[in-house]
Amino acid sequence: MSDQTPTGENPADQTSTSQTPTSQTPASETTQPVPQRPATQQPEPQRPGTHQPATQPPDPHETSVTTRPISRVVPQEFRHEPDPVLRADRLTKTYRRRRVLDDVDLQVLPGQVCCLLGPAGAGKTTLLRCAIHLEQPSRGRVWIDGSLLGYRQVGSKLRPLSARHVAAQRRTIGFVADPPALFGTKTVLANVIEGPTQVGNTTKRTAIADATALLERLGIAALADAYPADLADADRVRVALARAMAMEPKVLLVDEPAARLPAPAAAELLRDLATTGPGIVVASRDPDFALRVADVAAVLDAGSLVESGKARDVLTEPAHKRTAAVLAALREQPR
Amino acid sequence: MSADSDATATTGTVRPSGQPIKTVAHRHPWSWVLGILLLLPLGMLAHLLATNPAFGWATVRAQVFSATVLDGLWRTLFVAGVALVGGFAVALGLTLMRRSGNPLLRLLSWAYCWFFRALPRIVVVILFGSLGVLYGRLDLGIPFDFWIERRLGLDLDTRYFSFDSATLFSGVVAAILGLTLTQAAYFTEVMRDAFAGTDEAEREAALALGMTPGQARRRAVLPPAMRVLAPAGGREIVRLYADTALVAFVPYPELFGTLRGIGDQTGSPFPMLVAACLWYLATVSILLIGLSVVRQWATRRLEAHR
Repeated sequence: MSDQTPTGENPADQTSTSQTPTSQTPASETTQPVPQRPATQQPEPQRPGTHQPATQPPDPHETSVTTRPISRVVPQEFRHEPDPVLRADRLTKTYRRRRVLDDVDLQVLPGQVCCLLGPAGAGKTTLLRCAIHLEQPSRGRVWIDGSLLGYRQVGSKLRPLSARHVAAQRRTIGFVADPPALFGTKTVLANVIEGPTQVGNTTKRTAIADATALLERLGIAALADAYPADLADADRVRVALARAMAMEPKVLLVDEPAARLPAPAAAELLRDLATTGPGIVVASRDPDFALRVADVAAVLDAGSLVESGKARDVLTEPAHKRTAAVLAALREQPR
Repeated sequence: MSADSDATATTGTVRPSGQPIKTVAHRHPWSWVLGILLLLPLGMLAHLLATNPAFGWATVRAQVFSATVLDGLWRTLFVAGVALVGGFAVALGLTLMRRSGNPLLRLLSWAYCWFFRALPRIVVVILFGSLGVLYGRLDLGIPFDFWIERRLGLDLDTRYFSFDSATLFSGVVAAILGLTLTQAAYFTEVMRDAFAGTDEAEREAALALGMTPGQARRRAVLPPAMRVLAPAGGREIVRLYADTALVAFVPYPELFGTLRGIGDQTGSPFPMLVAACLWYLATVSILLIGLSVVRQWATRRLEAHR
């Protein structure tokens, strides 16, 4: 597990176009943080542009969003971009010799929504769980806001961090599981203030004020005193989002919100939450939801990253046959 | 029943059509008949209590607050208290063992519960009372020191304390051991049930918020577990208190043992049994009231989380 940059992946030929973004392009579109990789297994470096015919004619609006591979070490020329809040590097998870996650790279910038798209068992949930260290990766690393998650590096070895340190790191990560796992003995409001009052050092009064505002924003202010058991499934997701957002995380990980919320509502909520700043990674099986919500899409299949890039490109004009097949299968299945 | 229908016809709200709604009370005449019938045996019992000389109320009155009996009562409370605290502590250890990753610890915990739950409590208690048979003396030192000494050809004095086990295992130690060890097994089962009902996802949600594992246990695992733990634990406490009567067979002169002894000496065992009943009824009632107060307080703490 060396941290060296593999030679040949430095996208020097693309730097000039990316360095001069058109002034009115939104921040989320100026970057292309998720590496492009072919569906085939060979780890040879890719030439940018080969898989994205859409970007080949130099369209003035599209130049700044050209898909390009990101090297492991961000070159100096890219320093004007915000640093990724989440960076997964060759993430691999093996359960009893079965590879659930195979060598996945991912980067998410602040304010960006990244949709993990793939069928059941593609490794979406495992990737999210690795990104908050509820699952220890078998190989590979995750950085959250620049700090290595769950480990510290001693020489060339990784030592696991103590539970206390991991807990401190998790405070900057929001996680909404599927199903949302609310605290059943606590009211909605109590669920939302649990993090700030018990983990953060917010006073109860402030936490209640913040939580009430957050519930308002998520459209569930009326449910503050209800218990999770009495809520509709969709509202539980909203409460779980509020509980995660109450910690003001740098990264928000959301597992399958569109399975319980109507896709347009879920997309609107997440887009709204992203404006507050966190980078959002959302897992879904619904390509239409992905198209609504995501700046960046990463298509997973059987544990490996099939294709990633600007959501519109990946979802409407996939560069790989395998991506197209996965998307077709996902569109076919009833939801 | 015509008077009833007259009375009900005039009450009630008025429908839009203008006709008043007839409200008729739902009556259960037969349940009243049954209730009155059941009062009969109760009356017979009261008559029996008042008139049958076997109850020996004079003897009961003479003994029920005597110093000897009160001593016995204190011993009952003492044994119950120690067994409660000790049993809970051991059960906590057994629960942690059962939930540990070490299969040997899990097996030991399981075997312990199996052993003490399979044996009737009175058998365990009497068994502990008779453990003096096994060894004449009990020494505290290094395990298997006789074997080590023989191997090394040395004569080490590794026995630091010794007890006469016949005195140790009669009386209070046997009573406490018998009750504590069995209670630990019962408490462990209760805790297992309580924690089986908790949701791993909620614990992970707490961890995801940034809680330490200990915090997550306190804040996310314990509250739902308490919903099972509180009522079942209360039942176990009452059962433990009632079962202290078993240690009379150790023998240990707690309340029941004391009263039985007095009964045997004075040749009137039945009034002493009555006295025992009165004491148990009184003390268990107080215990139940105390438990319900604690439970109400705990529920308020749990529900009002704001």
